[in-house]
Amino acid sequence: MNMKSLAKHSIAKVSVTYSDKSSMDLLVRYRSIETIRADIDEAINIHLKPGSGKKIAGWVYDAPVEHGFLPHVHVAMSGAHIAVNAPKAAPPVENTTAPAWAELVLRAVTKKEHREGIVGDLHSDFARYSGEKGRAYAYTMCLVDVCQGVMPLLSRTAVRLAVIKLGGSLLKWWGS
Amino acid sequence: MEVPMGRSSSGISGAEQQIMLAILRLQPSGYGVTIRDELVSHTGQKWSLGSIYAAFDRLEERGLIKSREGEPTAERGGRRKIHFELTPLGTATLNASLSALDALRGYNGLRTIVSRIVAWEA
Repeated sequence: MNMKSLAKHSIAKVSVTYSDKSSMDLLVRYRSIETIRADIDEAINIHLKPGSGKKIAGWVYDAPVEHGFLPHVHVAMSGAHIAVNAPKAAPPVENTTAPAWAELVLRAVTKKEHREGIVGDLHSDFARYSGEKGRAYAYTMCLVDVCQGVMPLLSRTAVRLAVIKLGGSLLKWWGS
Repeated sequence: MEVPMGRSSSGISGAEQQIMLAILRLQPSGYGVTIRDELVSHTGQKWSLGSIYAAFDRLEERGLIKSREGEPTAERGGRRKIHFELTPLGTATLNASLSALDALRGYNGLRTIVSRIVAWEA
C-alpha cells in the first residue's frame, strides 16, 4: 500500500498482510523519519528492508488482536517497505513461556504419559502469572513450583526404577 | 464393589482422597491446573503440580483414575491437556474411604439421621 504522507506526527493507514494471507488495516503515526530502526510500541518493531533508503518509525494505534499469525510482509511507503514483526495486542511469545530449565527438570522426573500435561500446565501457569503480576513473579512461582514438585515426582521415579531393577534381579536369579 | 481398606493395599491417603474428590467435582474435564486450583480454593493449602502429578501417577497405577489426552492450546505452549477421571474402582474406593471416615466420626450418613427422626416422631 502506498503511503503518501511521511511527515512527522502524521497519521496514516497501513495494510498488513499476515502469513495466513489475511490482512488488516492499522493506523500508524510517524514519530521520526530518520531513525534507522524504531519501536513503534513495546511489542511492535518496524524494520525497513535493506536498501529502502527511508527510515520510518511511529505508533500503531489499532493493532491486530490475532496473535497466532505473525505478519511477514508488508507495506510500501513511498517506495520504502516496512514489516510489522509482532502485533500489539498479544504479548511476545517468549514472555509467556516457562523457562527451559523448568521444563527440562519436570520432563526428567515425570513419567512419559504425563509429561505433556505437566509441561503444558507449567506454561499455562507461567502465562497466567506473567499476565497478572509480571514476568519476575511468574519466574519466582515457577521456581517454587518446580522445587516443591521435584521431590514427590523423583521419589515416584526412584520407586519405579527400583521395581524394574528388582524384577530384573529376580528374573536373573530365576534363570540361573 | 467391595473395597478392602488398608493404606498399604488399596486404601487411599488423605491427600489422595482430596485429589480424587477434586477430580470427581470437575469430571470429566478436570486436568492438572484446574484440579490444583480446585484443591487450593477448597482446602486453603498450597499444592504443587509435582505433588499432584505424583499422586495421579500412584492412583493411575492402582487403577483408581484414568487419563485421556485433550486438545493442545496456545497458552499451554502447544501442549495437550491430560484429563483425569475416576474409574468405577476409584469411585468405590473413595466411597469406602469416606464412609470409613464418617463411621470414625460417628456420622453414619443422612439415612441414619432420617431413620432416627422417624423413630423419634413415631
